[in-house]
Amino acid sequence: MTLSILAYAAFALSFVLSLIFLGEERLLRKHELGNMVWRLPPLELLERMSQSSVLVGLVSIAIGTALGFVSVDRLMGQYWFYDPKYVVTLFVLLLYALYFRLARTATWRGARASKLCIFNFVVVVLSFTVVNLYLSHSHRYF
Amino acid sequence: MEIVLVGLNHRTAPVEVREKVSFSAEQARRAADELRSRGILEETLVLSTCNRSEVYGVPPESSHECAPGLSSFLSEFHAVRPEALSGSLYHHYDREAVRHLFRVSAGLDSMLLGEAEILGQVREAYRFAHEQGATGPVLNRMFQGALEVGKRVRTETDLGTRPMSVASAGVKLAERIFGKLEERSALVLGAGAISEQVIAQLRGRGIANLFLMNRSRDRAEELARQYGGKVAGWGEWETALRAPDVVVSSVATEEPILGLEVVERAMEARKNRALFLMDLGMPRNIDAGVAKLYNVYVYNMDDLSDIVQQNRQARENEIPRAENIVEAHVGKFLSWQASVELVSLVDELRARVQEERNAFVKARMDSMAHLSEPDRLRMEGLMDELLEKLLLEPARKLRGEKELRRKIQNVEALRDLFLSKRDKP
Repeated sequence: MTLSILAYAAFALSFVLSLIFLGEERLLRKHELGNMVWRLPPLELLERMSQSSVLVGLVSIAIGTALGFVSVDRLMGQYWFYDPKYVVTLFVLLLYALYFRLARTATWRGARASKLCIFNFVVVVLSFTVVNLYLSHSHRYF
Repeated sequence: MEIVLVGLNHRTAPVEVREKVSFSAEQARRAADELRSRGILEETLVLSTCNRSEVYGVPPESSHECAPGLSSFLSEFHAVRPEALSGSLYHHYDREAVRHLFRVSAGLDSMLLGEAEILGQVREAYRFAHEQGATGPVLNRMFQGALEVGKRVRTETDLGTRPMSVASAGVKLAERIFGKLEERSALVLGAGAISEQVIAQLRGRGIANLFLMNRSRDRAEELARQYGGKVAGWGEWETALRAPDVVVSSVATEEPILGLEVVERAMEARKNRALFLMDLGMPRNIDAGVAKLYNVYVYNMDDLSDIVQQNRQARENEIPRAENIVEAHVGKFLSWQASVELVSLVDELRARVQEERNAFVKARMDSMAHLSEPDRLRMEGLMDELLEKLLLEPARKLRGEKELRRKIQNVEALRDLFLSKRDKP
């Protein structure tokens, strides 16, 4: 559970970094510098930090979910039962793994990867709200 | 303890005058020695840059009398007629002298507002004079304050952060994308004056690899020798554009040199790693369509000039904040100075009271012959006790209370009040 919180914190951080990246990238490309750009961190630094943050998130959510399966197995004698929360979490894991992979490829590096990262975090937030409140029965809180 | 400053700068003197009065390191040392050995100043420091020559000092007597002596020393030292300097020299004393120095090191007095070099020059001049032993407690404190002001203004305001020339604006922009340029490489097309400016900036920012390309290879090779770089053959775009992260182009040409296709192919080869293009040519060297490519940043002469213009405005807007820092530190320095003077004033006062007491006791005791010896001693003891009580309390307060010291601005007035003229050191 602590691991999952760490993971979501890391995803949140990469979300913020990606937002800053997109904003700064837009300003630089449109030549609208103003006062902001000179105070922001360099684009490539933001990109690298976002990727490392996602890596931390990926590792901790993978371990967290695995431990979750183990404890569920002990409690109930089976490691899998259908719960939307499981599905969404695995989906999030998949999405971030995808981001991590794509962020280094030719087509996606830069702004596109950052947009994906922002999209991913929107999914995370949805899994926290909609899925927890309406869909899942055993994951009311986390 | 007073401070005097005599000097001239780019506002008061044209370059013909400034160059006559500038000091080399050796001259600065000699001038400082002479000023002290002739008894004109007790502490001296010569600050000489291409835009200013200034002598800071602490004179033995009242500084208002020593300024003319300093001016004539300057004209004598540099063998310039006094009339030639009289219109250009400015004199500042105490608070004004301190404020002047602090504004100088903040970059507020520079020709190029907020430029960074002056802080290094002030540091160097101070180090030089300090090693020579020409400075004393007052100038040491003052110049340490000046360095602190310079540092604070540069970290807390935008006075010096934003680039003021097209070349530096371009290079600083590249840093917005790549961060430090120490592991990056750059390609410069053309070998004219503008290219050279950019190369100097790139080198100044620590670029790792520098490639040069020019239609005539000779000039490119000359630049490569001067700044350290490799010359690439003109027109070999396929290989030349693969490595560099920054490409600068300043070539006289009718047709764009870097067309859309060339850059497109280069981006493919680079796997879309970001590319920063600086087009300083007129007419433009880079096809307008290039700016639309993914992860490509193109800035041309007009864009960069606009940025420089904006930055000039932004720097000017920072002036009040920088002036506030200067004022705060001037106040700090003056209250330090006052506290040092106050402490010495209290010591003098003590000595004076002791002297008065001895004379007083001698005169009065003679007329009181009926007192026995122990009674006399007792009387003297009582008197000492009273005097100590009267003096000790304020002295302790002065040492302990910072706020009180700040309130007492004019130490000279206190001195006049308690000590008659003859006691003035």
